[in-house]
Amino acid sequence: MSEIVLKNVCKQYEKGQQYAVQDVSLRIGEGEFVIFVGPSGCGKSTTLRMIAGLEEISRGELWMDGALCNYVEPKERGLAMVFQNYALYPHMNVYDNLAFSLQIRKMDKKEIDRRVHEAAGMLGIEHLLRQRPGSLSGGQKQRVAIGSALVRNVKVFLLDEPLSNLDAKLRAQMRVELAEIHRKLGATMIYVTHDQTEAMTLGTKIVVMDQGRIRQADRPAEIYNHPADRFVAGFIGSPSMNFFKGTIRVPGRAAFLELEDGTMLEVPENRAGLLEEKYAGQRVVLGIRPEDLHEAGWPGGSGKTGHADRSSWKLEGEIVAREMLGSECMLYLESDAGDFAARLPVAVRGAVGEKKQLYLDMTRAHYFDAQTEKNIFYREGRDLV
Amino acid sequence: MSTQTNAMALRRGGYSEAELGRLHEEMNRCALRKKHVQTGLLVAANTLVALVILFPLLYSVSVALMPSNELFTMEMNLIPKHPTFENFIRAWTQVPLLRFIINSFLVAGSITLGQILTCSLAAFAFAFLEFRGKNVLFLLVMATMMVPGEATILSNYLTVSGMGILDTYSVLILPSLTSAMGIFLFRQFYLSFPMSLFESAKLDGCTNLRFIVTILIPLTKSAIGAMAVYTFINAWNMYMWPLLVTGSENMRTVQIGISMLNSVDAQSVTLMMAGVVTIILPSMVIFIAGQKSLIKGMFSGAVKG
Repeated sequence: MSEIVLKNVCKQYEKGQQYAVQDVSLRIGEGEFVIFVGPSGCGKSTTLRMIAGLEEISRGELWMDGALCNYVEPKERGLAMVFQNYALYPHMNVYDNLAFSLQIRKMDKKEIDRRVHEAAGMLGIEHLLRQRPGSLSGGQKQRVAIGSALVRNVKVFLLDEPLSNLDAKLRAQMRVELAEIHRKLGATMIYVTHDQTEAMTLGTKIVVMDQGRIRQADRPAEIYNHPADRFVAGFIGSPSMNFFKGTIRVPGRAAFLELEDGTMLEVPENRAGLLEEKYAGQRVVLGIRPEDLHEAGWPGGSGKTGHADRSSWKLEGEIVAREMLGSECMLYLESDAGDFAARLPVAVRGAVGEKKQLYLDMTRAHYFDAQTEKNIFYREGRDLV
Repeated sequence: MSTQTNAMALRRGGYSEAELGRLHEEMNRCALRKKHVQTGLLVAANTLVALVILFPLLYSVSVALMPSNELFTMEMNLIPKHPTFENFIRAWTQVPLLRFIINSFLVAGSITLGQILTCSLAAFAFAFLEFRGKNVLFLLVMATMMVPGEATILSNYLTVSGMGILDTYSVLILPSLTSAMGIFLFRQFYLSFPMSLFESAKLDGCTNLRFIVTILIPLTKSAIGAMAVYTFINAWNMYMWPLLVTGSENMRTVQIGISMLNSVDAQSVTLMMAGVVTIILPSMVIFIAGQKSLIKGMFSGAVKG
């Protein structure tokens, strides 16, 4: 049992200054792989450091295993941390680096030796045990850093952007290994990153933060498919979601979204009800991911579903850039309704400077309130305390 | 085949393979000569400047080796014609020079050890720990650097005479056991120390003292070395304070002992120079030995770099 609960946790570095972390409430269950993600300065690292005990909590409560831990010393919290810059002791060899925390705890020499070799074996660094950190490559150093956390045999691991100093290929490899370690140990992992690929692939729960507050905390698929607000929608997904300002019009039986250039997009029936009722004549923001834009002729692109006329879901723009990604192709377009990007099959026609008409899959679109920027169809989170 | 070689010859401006090789060799030789000349010029310039800077030192060595009648002539006498160790022998026998040197070593060594201990511990607190009033306290420490030593020397004298420790080793050592400069130097050095190493050690269960002993000190050897050399030489060269608080010959340090050579019988410059040369030797040895740790970087591999 190793449950961590944060209740309205705040961090203020100096009195009268802005909060670095504000009212963060979160329950982290045993064995979860929780990812804190957000732009730099959003408070994700500070939150992690408060859990570790490296920063004092200004206000709020931190509970671990049912005990209030606000003022418990870091070493007594029973957690291990991996730092971005590895934090290896340069004057000790790899073996001593791994064994250091166990030696401090005056553990039996044989047990230390067993654990060090076990961790080294798991990470494939047994042949490096006699070397000093200075002679290791970045990937090897990161393995040693993870190893020195593993030997502690703790229930909770904290990782502060552990992969951001590695090159892209190594990062992908370490990502897979981290997932493997998590599966093997079944320990709780709390992980801070600004890389959304890491967040999406590793996490069992993603916590999106901005300006010291949690914007949304949920499973990766939920975050991607049901973003709570415009910030989350724009932050998760690469390239990010397209946004169009528009107004809801209800001229007859059907509801339409009128974009700024006058384009009328008919709202599909599963979305029409609430929009007609509460937002008729009001401004909303339409969000649609690049992969939900298609060329004419995509399956189900013509004809009618229910009462919505799919042939109205089109938007024309001038191609300003074209990126070949290998398996697919990105088009960046400009229109009077706003700039947008589309992820299309490689065979798509259209050169830079040409006009191109694309179809929006409105069944997969998101609608945000123009004032509050909240997702109009989002229901408040289930996992929050 | 022939068209191919023709084409190659054309591409290389009509030179054959052999001619081309010779040309390359010629160019290389030329460049090498130029490089040698440049290095030679640099070495010559450096030697010249070094001689100018070292002149007083070299001249004092030379004077120390001269018989006194050679010095007081109208001729330009840079190098002794009849070098002799007479002056050194007289300097060593006329005053207890060895005693002075031992005194100075004892005093300077204790001061160095004491300062490294107190300054590094204080600097650790200023650099790594968070506590209320840290900045104000640090400013206060820095402010003491602005008070000149001459301003406090009398009140210090009254204090130590009140304590009844005049003319002892304690009075030479105690007032210099810590220094604001040392605290400042160590703090600056610690500020560039990766904070994550401290935090990582803390999570590993390391106490502050254990962190200092097992991690901080081994990794800041170069700062400690620099500080040690600086402090030792400063302490070795102390003059005003030892002159004021010591009276007996047994407690004199070298700098004061040297001036005693001046007043024993007649003034003898050559004798004094022999004394001076003797007592700068230890500081030079300390400097040369400490120089290595001044330069040595201990940070390879601590963090990404």
